Amino acid sequence: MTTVVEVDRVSKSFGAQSVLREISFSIERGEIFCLLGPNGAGKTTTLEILEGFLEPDSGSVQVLGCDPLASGEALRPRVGVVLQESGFPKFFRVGEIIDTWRSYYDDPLPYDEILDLVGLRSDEAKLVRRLSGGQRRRLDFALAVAGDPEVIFLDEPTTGFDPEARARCWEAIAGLRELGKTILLTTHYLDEAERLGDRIAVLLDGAAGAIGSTQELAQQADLGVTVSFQATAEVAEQLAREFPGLKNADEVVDGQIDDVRSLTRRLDLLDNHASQRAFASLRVQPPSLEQAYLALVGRQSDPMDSRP
Amino acid sequence: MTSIPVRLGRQTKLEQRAFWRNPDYAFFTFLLPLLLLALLGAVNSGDEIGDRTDINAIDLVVPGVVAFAVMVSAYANLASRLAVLRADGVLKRIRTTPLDPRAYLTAQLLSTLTTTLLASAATILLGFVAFGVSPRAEAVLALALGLVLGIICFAALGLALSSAISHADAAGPITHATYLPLALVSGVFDPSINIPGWLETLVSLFPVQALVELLVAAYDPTADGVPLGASLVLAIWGIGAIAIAMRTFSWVPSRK
Repeated sequence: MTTVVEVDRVSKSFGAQSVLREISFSIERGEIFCLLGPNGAGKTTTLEILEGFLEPDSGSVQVLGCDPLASGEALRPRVGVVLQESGFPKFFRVGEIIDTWRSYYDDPLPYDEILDLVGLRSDEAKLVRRLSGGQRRRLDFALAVAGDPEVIFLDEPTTGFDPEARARCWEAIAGLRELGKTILLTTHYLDEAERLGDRIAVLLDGAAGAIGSTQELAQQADLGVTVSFQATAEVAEQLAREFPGLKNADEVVDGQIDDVRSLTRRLDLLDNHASQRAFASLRVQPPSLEQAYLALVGRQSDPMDSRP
Repeated sequence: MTSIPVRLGRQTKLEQRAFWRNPDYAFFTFLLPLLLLALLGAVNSGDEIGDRTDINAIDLVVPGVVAFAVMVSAYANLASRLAVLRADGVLKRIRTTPLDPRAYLTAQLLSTLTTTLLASAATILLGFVAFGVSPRAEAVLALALGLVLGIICFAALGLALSSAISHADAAGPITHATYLPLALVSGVFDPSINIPGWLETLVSLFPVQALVELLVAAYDPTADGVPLGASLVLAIWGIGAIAIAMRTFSWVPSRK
């Protein structure tokens, strides 16, 4: 594995406001890495440092082995960017602007491939000002990938989208992964991070609280798996006693357990006492990103926490 | 990457195409001076200038309106267009690409030069067709030089001013407020205007008056050669503006 993006103890303040506090993470080639956090957590600031628009107060960053501030010229042909907010020249046509962007690069993606990737084939001749919000965002994508970059930075690519537009956008991002791109994506949507992110960094108040896949985050948050099943009153009682995380309500047991194997060893009880019905009702769910996130957020914003 | 001239040509062509598709820009920069000339010509074409018997007011109104066309197109339009492109994040987006930022700005300036020359030529043509006013035959070259010097100076000023406009909404009001009062007292709309001596001295230090003087010299039959003082004023303002623009030009919107 090759490290493509390296962020090492980066801090950044604007005046008295500290936006990033010693944030560190690294991204491997071919990975989709999500920066997840509420508005104002420092996601955009992190991206702007990686894009060479901002200088960190302390710490260092590397993109493809280069310092983005000092080596912008070397990096720009290899990095595609979707900024959080950036306009288009409104009186260009979709096809014109894509072609213009392609001309900025030595080895661009084929024009038709770009149109198909972002699904703007039928809007080719439209003026940019006539596009809907979702179409504009897809054009953002088109311009970011026009140069066939190795690394792509996406700042909140689906904020403000309707569900259909989000689904299309996710498809496009998944398509980029298939092309072997390394992608850094910021979002405040949990489902987006869960769906797209190979690894997720939870960013809170300018610090990376936890980093990992959904399962790894759940482990860091000390979350077990969620189980529920039906059982006879006797078995339900017995299991609820054995596993403190489980609750028995009227022959329906549910709750969380740390180690799913400890329960599977006891599933013979269900087999013996309840019939098919019990097994049919058995549900085992890994922790969702939402549960992990809320647990991590709750822990960080604990009033006992001694942060300033 | 293609060669620089090809790239510049392509980008300029694209900017031109986008410019003429925008009805606001097309109207204000191209039609407004023509409309103004038609109106001013209808109102005071036969008026006398002082006690001169050789020319009428319209003979000096035409170069005044040509100066106006230069200011609207090279200065006001460029400044507000760049300010809007910056506030909207278009410049920032350009900055994420490998396109040389100097090439992008040069293409913007070449496009502005093209538009301004077209607007000036149309105004000059209307002056001739509608009012029979034309520059002195021997001053055509001086007129062209004056125009180019004026366009460079005002485009540089527009470039510098654009950095001072932080919101797209403010672009129009700020640009117009900076040149319209000067245009008025510099006799752009009324060559026979009488202003106090101290104000005249003051106004003569500004590039609006200097441009009017250069262009009028190409039309006024009693003028001779190129007014050097006025050329110097334009050159100084132009160089100063370029120096300021190089220090203040920014690719990203101002932080909210």
